[in-house]
Amino acid sequence: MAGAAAVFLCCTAWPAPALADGAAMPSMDPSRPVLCIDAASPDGQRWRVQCDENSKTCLWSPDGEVDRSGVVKRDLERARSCTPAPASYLTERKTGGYQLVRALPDAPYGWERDERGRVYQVNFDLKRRLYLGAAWAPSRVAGETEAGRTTFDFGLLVWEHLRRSRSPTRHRLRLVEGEARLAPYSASLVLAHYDVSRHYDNPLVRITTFFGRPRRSDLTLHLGTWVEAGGLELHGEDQGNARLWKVATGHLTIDLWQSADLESYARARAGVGFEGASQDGLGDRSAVTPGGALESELTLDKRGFHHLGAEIEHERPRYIEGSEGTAERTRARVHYEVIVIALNDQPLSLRLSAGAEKRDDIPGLADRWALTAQAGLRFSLWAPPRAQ
Amino acid sequence: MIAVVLVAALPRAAAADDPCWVSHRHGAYPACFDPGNRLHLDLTSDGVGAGIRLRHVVGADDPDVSWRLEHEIASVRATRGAIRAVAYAGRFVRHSTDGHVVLPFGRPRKLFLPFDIGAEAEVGSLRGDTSGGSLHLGVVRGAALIDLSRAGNFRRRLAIGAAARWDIEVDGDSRTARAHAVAPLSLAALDLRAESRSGLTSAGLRAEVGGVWSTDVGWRRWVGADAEIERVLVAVQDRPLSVFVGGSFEPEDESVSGLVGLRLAPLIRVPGRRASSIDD
Repeated sequence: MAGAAAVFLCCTAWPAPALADGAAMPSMDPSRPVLCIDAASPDGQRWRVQCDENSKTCLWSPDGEVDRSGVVKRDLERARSCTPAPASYLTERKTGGYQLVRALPDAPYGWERDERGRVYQVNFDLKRRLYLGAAWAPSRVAGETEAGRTTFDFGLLVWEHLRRSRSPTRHRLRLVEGEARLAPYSASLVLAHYDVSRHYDNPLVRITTFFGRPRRSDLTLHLGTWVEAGGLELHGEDQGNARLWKVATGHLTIDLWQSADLESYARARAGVGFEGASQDGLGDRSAVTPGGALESELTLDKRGFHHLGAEIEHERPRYIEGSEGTAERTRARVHYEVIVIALNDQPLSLRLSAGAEKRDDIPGLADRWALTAQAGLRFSLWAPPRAQ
Repeated sequence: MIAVVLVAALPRAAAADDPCWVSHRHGAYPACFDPGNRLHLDLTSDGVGAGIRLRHVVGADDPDVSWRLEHEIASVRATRGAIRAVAYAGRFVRHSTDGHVVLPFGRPRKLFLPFDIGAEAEVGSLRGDTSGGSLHLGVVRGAALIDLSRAGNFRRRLAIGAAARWDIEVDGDSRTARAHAVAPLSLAALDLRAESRSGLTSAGLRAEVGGVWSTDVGWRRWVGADAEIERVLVAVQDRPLSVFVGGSFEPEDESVSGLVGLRLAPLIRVPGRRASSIDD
């Protein structure tokens, strides 16, 4: 009886549930406890309640997803369990001068709720995904523009893992990643890519100077490795199809700058690879290829919506079989990717890139700078929220 | 390791009231099989085949969301003078009881969508004749799918989407590439599947229709389809033997072919748990 009286008092003194404008509503703090009160509203709705003693405010929301008229239709997704509380809890708070404010139910990290309590992902880790995309990819080579060129790109698995410690380490793995371009045709594929970045807590070398007061200077080198295996490039040329097999390439990396989670970086890398090339009518040749690159990947916002990357790479194949001498490959590229929409929490992103390439290792390819650009969409699967 | 996984999935514990296990005085025997978790050997009307299939569900923080992952590994079918093989094919579907699209402009907005989202990936496929004719090497194929069936299990699928592929036509004699073909998400894909609760009967249809650009003729029409119906007839030592009827419409030469075969699954997962025998 006392409980019923408390519910009556509560529900006649406090507002009835109704659908409000989600943009104007505060959200419950997912890091603070939430209480659940049965039959807290006149129509017997169960409420989630979170009170703050400092601001004398109690945030409340229906404990479930509601329809447009405010009636609970189903349980909240991704909701934490709440602590049951008696209906008198709200009455006591009212007596204590608390203000009751309609709010959005709490959502876990990386997720938000709308005014109906429906949850959706708003934070995406594009470094953990598989993707498929298509793009318009015009190019300009030796004064000729190929404006109708298109491409599709793919990645069977992109996976990065940060091992947190005093010297955090980020492992990056990519499997079956590449793209195929048409009109004119060319394609590239890398079966396996792995690189690792590490932030060394201890300096590699510390130098103490004794001119005047002794002073210490630390020299820190954040060294890592970069390995690719099973690279393939195909080019359709007037002189016949050309194939380039990059059997294996290994580079040593030095990170010039790292973000705290090592997701963003600027680095230099250099090393050597072994490759084989063939072209219709010209036979096979193989080469040892020293090379190096300056590259950077930046995640520009905490939610993982904006990604910017740049790369300058130079390789110099030195032929050891089937041919003599050396060749040159130089390419530069900048790319930007932004998430524009999410379907069932799987992001669809817009990708823009521009680049230039100059090479003389494939007969028939113009030994001039080739300018390329891309504008297209990528569909990504998985892409969970980024690590906190 | 795959064999270890499959063997580990074979029945082991005892439990009563399981419709997939029938009690018998000499020990319970299975009446259900999981055709998505097996190593199978095929004997067809004109050749042999084999392959490994695995499928499993990965949960998420949200009990309303799960990932249904299916894998086909080292699938081979050899007939007189022809061979078809796939190194790896995977299907990854995110099942959610609440489909939606999020518009992340300003404060993100959520609109309801009545389907699940998924993708297919296929790496390293081969089709061709072994008598020195042409070989069709599928380097990679990918598809973005929406599954309208929104089934919470593997037994039903009604998926449509857009597919991209990269194929190389290799001359069998010179072993050089005759043509390269690229479909930049220019194919419409359809994927249907139905499977009985017991797993004894299953049927599937996959089709691709659209345009492919190739280095020899430019854009051309691409129509391909595969269909198969399978029914388990008997089980020997709890290893099912099934009969299957299949047909395909080859996209390269637009020819129709069919086959009938027997399929033995020496390693297969049996759903549920073994019931106690009467003698126990």
